[in-house]
Amino acid sequence: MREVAIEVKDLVKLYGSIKALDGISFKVSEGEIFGLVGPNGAGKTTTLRIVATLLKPTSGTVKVFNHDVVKEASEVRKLISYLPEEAGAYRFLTGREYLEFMAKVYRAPMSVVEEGIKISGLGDAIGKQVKTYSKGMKRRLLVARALMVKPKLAILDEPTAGLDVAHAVYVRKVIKNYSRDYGVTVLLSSHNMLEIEYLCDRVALIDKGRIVEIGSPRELIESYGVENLEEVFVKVVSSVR
Amino acid sequence: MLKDLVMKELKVTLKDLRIVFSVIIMPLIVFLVMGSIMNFAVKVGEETAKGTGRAIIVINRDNGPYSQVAINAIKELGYNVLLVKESNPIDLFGNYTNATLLVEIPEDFSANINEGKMAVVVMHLNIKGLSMIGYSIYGIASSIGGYLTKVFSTVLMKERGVEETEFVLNPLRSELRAYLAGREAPPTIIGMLGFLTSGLLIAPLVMIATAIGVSASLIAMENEERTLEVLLALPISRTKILLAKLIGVLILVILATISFMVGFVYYMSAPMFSMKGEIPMEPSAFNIETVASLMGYHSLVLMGLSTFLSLVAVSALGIFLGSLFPDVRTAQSYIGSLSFIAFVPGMLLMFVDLSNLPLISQVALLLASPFISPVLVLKAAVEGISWIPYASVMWALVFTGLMVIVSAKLLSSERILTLQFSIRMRRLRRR
Repeated sequence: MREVAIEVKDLVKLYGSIKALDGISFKVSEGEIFGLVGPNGAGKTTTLRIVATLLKPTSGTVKVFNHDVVKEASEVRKLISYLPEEAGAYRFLTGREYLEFMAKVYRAPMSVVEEGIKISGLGDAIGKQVKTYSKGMKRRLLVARALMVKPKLAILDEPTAGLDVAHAVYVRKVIKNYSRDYGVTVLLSSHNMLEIEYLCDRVALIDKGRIVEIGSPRELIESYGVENLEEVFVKVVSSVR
Repeated sequence: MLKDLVMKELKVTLKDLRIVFSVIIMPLIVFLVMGSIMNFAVKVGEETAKGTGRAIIVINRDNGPYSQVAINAIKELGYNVLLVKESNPIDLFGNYTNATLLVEIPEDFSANINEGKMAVVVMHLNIKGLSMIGYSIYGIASSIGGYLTKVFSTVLMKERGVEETEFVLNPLRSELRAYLAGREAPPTIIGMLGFLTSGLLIAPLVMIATAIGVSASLIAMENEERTLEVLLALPISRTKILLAKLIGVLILVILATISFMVGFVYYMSAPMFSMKGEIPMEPSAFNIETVASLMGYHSLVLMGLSTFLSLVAVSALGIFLGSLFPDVRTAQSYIGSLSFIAFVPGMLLMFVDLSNLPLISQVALLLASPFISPVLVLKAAVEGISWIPYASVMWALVFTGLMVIVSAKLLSSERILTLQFSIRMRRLRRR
């Protein structure tokens, strides 16, 4: 039986008077690719930030490989690699310098840098400063950074945001292969239902800080008798509201 | 790990032209340019006034024997003399537009000297505009006047049979002994007082203002470039992240201060700041021995310590404040205003002696701003108020500790991000 990689229990998060998460619970198994789907402000990013130890829950618990994200945050950080939605890289470092810095931080062998360069597909541009990169190039560098260290858990917020179709397809394949080949557990969020259907073993549909449905994309599509995940989401949300 | 973090900080800051230009290159350029302009202006002024290739116009209304002595004396100084017939000085300056000085010898000049009365020479200065040239012309006129007085004193003494003319002209000289706050100080201190006051008081303030600006920019840059979230999720302790930023800031501040001081010393060495005469004012004398003679090595160490503590404190404060700003520009504009507030008590200290202030004001100054701690230590040490340096260092230590703890807490907790997200969510809701 596979180990539980993430265990989220009754998670609540308040920003002042604003309730971002309203008691969500889910589990993710090791090696699984789990997606969070929902509209803007649904609570996807807040969930990812809590799992990534950046935010503390107002109540509830989150465990990553049995380590509490609040009490054992430094242990959790050793196991994860987090890619925020609007992440940037240091403008004045070259792509290679950035990857080298990250490899040192994770105490990974320098060989992972070459792997990162390969994942990024940046070629000769890896020697140029990040400030010269397009949005897509930056995103590919960041995805490479997140995966090259082969974390136990990769937390990816909109991993293909800003990428053109060809590069988005490429990045999705890289994520899928990494999860399969190295047993990397992936927790991701996306607006792109095609992406979710292609990548995720299971998904949680989130609306207004609550999980309204959970299951594999295929199961959900079949049980709601619709053609795709988008229609599942619309149907679920309209029935809940 | 710390080394890698510090190297990253240095790479991202030293390759950022915005930071390098504003804190290292700009002060150097400003002072070098201003110093060069000063040097050039004074040189041009002197050359214009001396009339290189030009003449000093002389109107001799006297034509007696002593007027010729005066004309010869002017020639002895190396000036070309253009003798003109009686005319109006303004008309003459209209005709001889290059002329800067007109010496008028009145008709009763020789007669007055013969009768033992004070003779008068009128110096007409042709000043064409608001520039240092006018000041230089005045300098030349004064030196000619002084030289004429000396020449006529010698001539008259000889005519009256006085042999030791040099002795009579210079029968005594004054010798300076300086005492600063009850201690003997080298006389060079007097000539350098303005230089030392401004240099020693401004340098720590500049260092501190730079530190707070740079540290706030560094963390704001992490916000602006969206790298903070990734950084905080890495397997590095938050204390190391803070420490690396503080070390990065301190290195940058040291570079900025060296640049500032090089520019400042060059600027202050411009001729217009030099006090000619018995009191030498040499920027080269601006060294550790001179400063130590002012305050003692013991206090110098205290000042160094308080400067370091203040730098760490304001850098930590900068990191704390900078984390609240979304981008570098916003951080710079807010922090710039804050630096100004910190500068006010610092500037006040340039113009008052601590010993003239009542105890309560001294304590208020001590507590009011840890930003001016090095300046307080310096002034108190020079003035011999022994408790202030220790109290100031202790307060700087406490404040630094508080700032570092607060900043480390901010980084190690989620507050920094929660605050940012709350602000963003409120903005989203308003829209």
